[in-house]
Amino acid sequence: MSELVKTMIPEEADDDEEAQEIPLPNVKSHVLSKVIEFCRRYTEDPMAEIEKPLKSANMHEVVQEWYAKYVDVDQELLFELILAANYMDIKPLLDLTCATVASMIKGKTPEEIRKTFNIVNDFTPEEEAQVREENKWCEEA
Amino acid sequence: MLWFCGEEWQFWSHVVMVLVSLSVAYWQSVPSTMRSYADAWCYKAKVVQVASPSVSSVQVPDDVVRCVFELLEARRIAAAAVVCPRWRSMADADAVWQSVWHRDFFEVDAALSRAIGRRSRAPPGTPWKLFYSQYAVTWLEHALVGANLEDSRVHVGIRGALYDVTTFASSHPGSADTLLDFAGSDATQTFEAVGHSTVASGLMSSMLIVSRPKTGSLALVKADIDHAKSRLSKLTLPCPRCPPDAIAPPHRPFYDATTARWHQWWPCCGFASRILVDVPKRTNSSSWSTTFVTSFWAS
Repeated sequence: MSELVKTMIPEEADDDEEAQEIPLPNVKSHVLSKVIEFCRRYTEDPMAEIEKPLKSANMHEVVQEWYAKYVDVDQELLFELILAANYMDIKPLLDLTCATVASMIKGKTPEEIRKTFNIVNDFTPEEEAQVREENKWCEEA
Repeated sequence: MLWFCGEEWQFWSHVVMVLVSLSVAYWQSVPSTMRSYADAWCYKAKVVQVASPSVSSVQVPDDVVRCVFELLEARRIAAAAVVCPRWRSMADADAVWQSVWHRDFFEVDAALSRAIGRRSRAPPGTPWKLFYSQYAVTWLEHALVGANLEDSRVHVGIRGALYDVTTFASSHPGSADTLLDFAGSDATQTFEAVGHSTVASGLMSSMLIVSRPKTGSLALVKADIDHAKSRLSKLTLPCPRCPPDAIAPPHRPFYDATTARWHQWWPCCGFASRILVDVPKRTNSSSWSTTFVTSFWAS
């Protein structure tokens, strides 16, 4: 499933019984085991495609139960998974983890978003007032 | 003693050799993935020694953050721009808004391109974020241009959706003329005031061309467009095609977001001018608005 791993396995090795060693220096072991858990499940029960824009902030309403539970992890592991999925080029896992982050943004005010992701607001008060004004939204087009 | 030591040494060296060969055999029997786990552990140990900071949103690459934004509704992307300068630059990115525009206006674009004869896209020099809002505010009126002529096509806009009433007009219970008066325009107000039945609403669904897109616009952009439109509506501009007539319906200004130009059309003959109408800038607009508005009018 990983495009990275796919490109690293030489073609002639397909019928070779001997196990191949693939170095993945950027992926920590506990993250890798979680990634493999995803891939195993995906081959058995593929994840439903995620609707854009996200229809709910609750991941249980977005993907199947197993996948919703899979991403119910602490933020550090979630971002590790994003980095691993991005590095190993596993599109469905990247879709799932990105959707999880999007669900954490959905329905929140900028302050709540900052708090959720522990982001420092480095706008000056004037800048922030301007950005707010610029991004004021009206629903009725 | 020496003999004993020798014997002892030989015995221990034997034990060690057996142990080493056993562990090598074991290691070789371990699957390669497990070995890479072990490598990864070593790697982790090294990283920890260098004092690794905990992974956070800061380390996520820009293109991944953009993927996250593309999963959100337009209004949420606008809210994300307020979080911090880095998010702002990503939440304003053309790539994000272009993909979100395609997502939200897919159906509208298909219908509008039939009406105007070309596919829409942001005109050169217009950021996609601005284009998105301009398009959201103006697409319906743009699609309705010239759509009031009985012998060609008769369209109306109701509650942000576009309807084709060409064949229905003659059988309209409230007379064909009442309907034709509102052809080529947004008839929501009158439609609601008259109070149509549920049967009528059911009938309407068969005439629907484009359903109301789930969208919105930046408040500043909408204010700019509304302001310009009200200024343009006040002008007296007789139709260049038709003879002067006191009872001729007035011209209708419309904004073409795909060319970033204001035009006007006349319901008397459905003629749309290709001439840019010059609109004075709004006086009390913010600095942001001014720069945007400049690109808005100047082209």
